[in-house]
Amino acid sequence: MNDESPSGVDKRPDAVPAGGTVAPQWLTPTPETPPPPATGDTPPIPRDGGFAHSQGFARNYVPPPSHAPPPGYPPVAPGAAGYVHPGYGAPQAYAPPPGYAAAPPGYPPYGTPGAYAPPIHVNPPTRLTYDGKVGELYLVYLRSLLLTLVTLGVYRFWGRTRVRRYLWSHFQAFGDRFEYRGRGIELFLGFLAGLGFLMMIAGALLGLLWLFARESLLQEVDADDVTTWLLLLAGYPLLAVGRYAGLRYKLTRTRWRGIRSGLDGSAWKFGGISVGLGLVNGMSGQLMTPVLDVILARYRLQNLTFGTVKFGFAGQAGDIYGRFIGFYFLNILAWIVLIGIVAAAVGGLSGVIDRLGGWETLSEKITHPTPLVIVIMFLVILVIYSLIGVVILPLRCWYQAYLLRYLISRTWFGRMQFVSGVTTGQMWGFIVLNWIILVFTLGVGWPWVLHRTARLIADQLWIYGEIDAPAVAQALGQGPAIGEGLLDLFDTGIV
Amino acid sequence: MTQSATALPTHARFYDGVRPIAHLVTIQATPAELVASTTEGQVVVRWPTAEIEVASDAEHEPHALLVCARQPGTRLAIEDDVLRQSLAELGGNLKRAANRRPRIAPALGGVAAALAVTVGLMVFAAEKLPNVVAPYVPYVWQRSLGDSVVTAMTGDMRKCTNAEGQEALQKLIDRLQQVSSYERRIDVTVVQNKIVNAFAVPGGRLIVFSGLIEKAAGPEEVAGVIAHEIGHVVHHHSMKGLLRAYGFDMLIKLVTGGYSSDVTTLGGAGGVLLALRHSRDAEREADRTALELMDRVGMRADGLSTFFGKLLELQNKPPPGDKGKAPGDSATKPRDAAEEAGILSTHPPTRERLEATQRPPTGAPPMTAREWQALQAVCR
Repeated sequence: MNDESPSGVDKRPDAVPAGGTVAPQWLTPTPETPPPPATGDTPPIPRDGGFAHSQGFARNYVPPPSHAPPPGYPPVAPGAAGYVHPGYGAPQAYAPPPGYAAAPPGYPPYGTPGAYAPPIHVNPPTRLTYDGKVGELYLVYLRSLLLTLVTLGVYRFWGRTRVRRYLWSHFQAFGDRFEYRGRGIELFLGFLAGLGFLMMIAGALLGLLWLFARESLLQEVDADDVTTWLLLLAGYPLLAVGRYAGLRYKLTRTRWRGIRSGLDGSAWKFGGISVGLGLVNGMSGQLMTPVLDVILARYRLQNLTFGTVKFGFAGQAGDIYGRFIGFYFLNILAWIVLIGIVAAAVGGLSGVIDRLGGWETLSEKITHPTPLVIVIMFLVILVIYSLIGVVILPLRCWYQAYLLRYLISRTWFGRMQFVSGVTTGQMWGFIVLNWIILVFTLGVGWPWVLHRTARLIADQLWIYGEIDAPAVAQALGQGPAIGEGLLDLFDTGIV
Repeated sequence: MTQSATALPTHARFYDGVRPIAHLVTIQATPAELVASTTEGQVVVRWPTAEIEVASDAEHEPHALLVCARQPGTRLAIEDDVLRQSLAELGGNLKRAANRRPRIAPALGGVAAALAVTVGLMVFAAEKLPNVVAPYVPYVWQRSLGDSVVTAMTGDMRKCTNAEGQEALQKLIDRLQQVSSYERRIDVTVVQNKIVNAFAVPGGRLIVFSGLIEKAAGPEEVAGVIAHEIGHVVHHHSMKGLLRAYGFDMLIKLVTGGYSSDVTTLGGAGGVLLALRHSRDAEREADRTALELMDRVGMRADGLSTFFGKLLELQNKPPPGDKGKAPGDSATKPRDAAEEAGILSTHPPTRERLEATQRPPTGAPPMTAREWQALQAVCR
């Protein structure tokens, strides 16, 4: 399945064209002059009160001995030993300030900007830019929705592909746009494959039950219930597998500067880790959440590739446990406060209810609603949800934003490093506000939510350093031929 | 077609497909070939125009991506609209290089209007189509559906199979069915349960709970209820309800994309209210048909209204454990559960039904005294 040939001619980079010429290799020398530094707006200032700086990016920050980099961090790309970041001097010997440990043997000394990491405090960071317009996105989305309705749902795979093409191609990094080269038919075939797979599992499980527990099955339980439960039991682990496979599909269809991205690793292994740790976490009263978060992020990020080069990730759960413990206990406190508020409100309202004629009149009114009663019921539900949104969820966002900043700041690609300054408020806007938009617009707010999310990514992801182009080559192959089968069955996101 | 080279000194980006490097190039295109050269004058692309393909999607992507099988993996990214337009004028595959993004406001308006019309039509279809389709659903499917409902609801209850009683009931049903527009035989299952109820399932099957027979004052009341259930069968109400629920479910999933369970829940609540409204209409229709059928046979038809009276009475009788406080303000108005449930009720207010089904106590008895005795003993 070729991703870029409408006529179906095989144009894979590793395929030798019949009678044609091979791509000229002289085209890819080391650039003699570095590209001009990005001009334009002023570098963003971290809006999180310096969290990113505390992660090792401040001007004069030298990590304490306890934060010595783990093995493999920072990576030394083979063949890039002599690389000097444009604009910076050659690596030089560096003596750590007194009281700090030297770098482990075999690793470049830390604290030397030119030695192994781009001196991010000198160069302004590059940002992704997103120049999509919400009106255009609405047009793409509504047109897809219309065709989906007319075709009774079959078109949704093609519609999703269109939305992705729009989103991807409006993201730019270093002046070059991203491409999404997936095709609707791949998603459709993936869906069929996933459906077939699920039916096979359900059939096998039902067959086993039929063989070994026929009598009790017939007498005691309803066949429909059994099927539902089996699908749930099989579905929970498969959801994680599907997520990973879906991520792989999306990444293999993503190109930047003509080079495709990818995801190594096994979706089944990811699903196994995710389910196993999820169970352990559940048994430990959610106290292992940071471990789970970091391990899952590590599996994804360390398998993430661009061309031939993998991304790196060096996060450790220990680093974020402090914030998590704070969140954990504040969360319990917040629930107690919320229950107190609700109890007080019900107590205060009981007088009002009695004056209105007691609970019976109230239930009479609810079942024979006048428009006013409907509005009041709506407001009551709104108040309850707002209470949860105001008391409980900001705490979760406080942790989630911290986690995201941490994960991003511990990720690198070659000599590029990433920083995000996403704040608790922005995370709240991402999680809570987007949910509110979706519910209140009955789903029609999707393009708006996507636009908001794209803007957030563009605003809050900063790239330090530049891509080491000679070290990266095109990935081999085309990735999986069909896409997202299992994911589509359980989790039908539009993107 | 002139052979004069149209020099287009506009920049494009060339990706060699091997390294992530963007080469700034100028493009020169003729109907014969397209040449891209770097600022140093190095020619990086010399493609026959006819072999060039446009990999990008002009409606969604802001750039045109040109690819050619001569140099696999490479691409030329062009954002300049003037250059894209002049390339498109070269014809062939390159026509797709032009920027084809529609003007937003009119296009959006058109799509939104078409969407509104489509959703409207589909809601209308989901509401009306089941009435047309339900009678034509193959009988075998209806039957197996009905069987699964029966197993689900009465699987753990004892079936009453006293032959004489069963026969008496079946005879009553056959008489009513023969004068109706329903052409297949309707069978009945009596199960032992204290609840006063009977219902019709798809495929022409009735389930009667023995509580109904025990509580009925006479065969007229049983006949009234049976006639009502036959009314449901005649109008395929259960099949219509199922089809409608399924249709609305599908529609909500399609419109919301099925990606937010909350959105689906909200939409689903609307669907349930709609289904309940249809259910209340169906009850009225079944009541009317029941009276019609009994009149046609010449049967005494006051049983249905007296049975409704009995239902009201049952609801107003204080439960054994009640501590004196009568439910509702029973002094002025007797309690009516169906009316209290309002839009959440599957049935219309019982009082309304009672008044609508009033009939004089004249006509032939629905069954002989002997048959009635046998029916009362059906569970023994």
